[in-house]
Amino acid sequence: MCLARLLPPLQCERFNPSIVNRDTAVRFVFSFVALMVFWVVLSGFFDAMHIGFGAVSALIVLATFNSIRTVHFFDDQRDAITAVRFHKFIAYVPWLIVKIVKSAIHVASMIIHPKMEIEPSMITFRVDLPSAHAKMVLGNSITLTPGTLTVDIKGDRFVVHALSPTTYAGIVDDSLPRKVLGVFSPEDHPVVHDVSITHSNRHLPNV
Amino acid sequence: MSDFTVLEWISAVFIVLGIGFMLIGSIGVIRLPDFYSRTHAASKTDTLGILLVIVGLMILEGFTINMGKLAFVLIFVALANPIGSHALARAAMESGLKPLLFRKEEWDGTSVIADSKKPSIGKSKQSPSGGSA
Repeated sequence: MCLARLLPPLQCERFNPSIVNRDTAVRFVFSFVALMVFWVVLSGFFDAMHIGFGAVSALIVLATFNSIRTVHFFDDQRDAITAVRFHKFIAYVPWLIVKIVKSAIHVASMIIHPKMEIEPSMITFRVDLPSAHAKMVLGNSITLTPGTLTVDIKGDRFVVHALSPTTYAGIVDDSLPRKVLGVFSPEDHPVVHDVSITHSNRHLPNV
Repeated sequence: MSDFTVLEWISAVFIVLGIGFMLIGSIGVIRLPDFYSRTHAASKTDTLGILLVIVGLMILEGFTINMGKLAFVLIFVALANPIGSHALARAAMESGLKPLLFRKEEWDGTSVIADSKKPSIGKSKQSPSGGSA
């Protein structure tokens, strides 16, 4: 029942009713509803028996993962569900899709161009984001956008490989990182600093 | 020809566009010079390709339970794709594979122009392409 036993550094903790508060309740309801939606869509049956099976399965999954959920892998890790501002996130997804389509067309046209005018470069920068989850969202968004690839994140330092100056413009001018900041925090401030762009192997940052 | 409905035409356009992006991604894997830029072509141009194909299938399917299942596939591809390419690139960097970086002027379309002032670029061209082969 306790999945943490599989990972040696983790400890199995008993469920402690005294830590139940608004955050844990929201988290439980959100996870349960998400798992139930997943179950119902995959099964396609809406009668009481199938829904009941789904509810039991969802509860077993939540109980199994409860011990892992309490473990923190990073110092600045916070629970994601209550930290996300959902109205901003819903606006962020279509904005990112438009960006993905634009840069996919740009990258595709570079690849099929006879001269293939690429200019591969490494960009390193530091970010000022509130939590590890925000950095994860930024890193995933950068990688999901064609033409840019998050190679490493160490602390607040990002290492990004880019195919051309057009593709990394959105990172260097702070537009994408600021959107990510908006998803996680109500305050608005510059996120990216200490940007360095290298076009030569000899000046590679130490990763 | 006239047997197709408008929705079927729209979904066909999406699917063909998606397959086109995947084809360009495959061409990119062959044309691009080193491991890191090939990772771009292999995973990222395909992101839009797969998304377009699935959107096309969703339009074809209409508002049924299968549309929901396709939407889940869409979400999982969008979550798993960047993690996979990040893991590839990070593993390559950790194992010491240097990326091939250059400016537009040093690039003749197929290889880096070996400049006498910059011997390291011409030399380093061997290791990334050799390592990614």
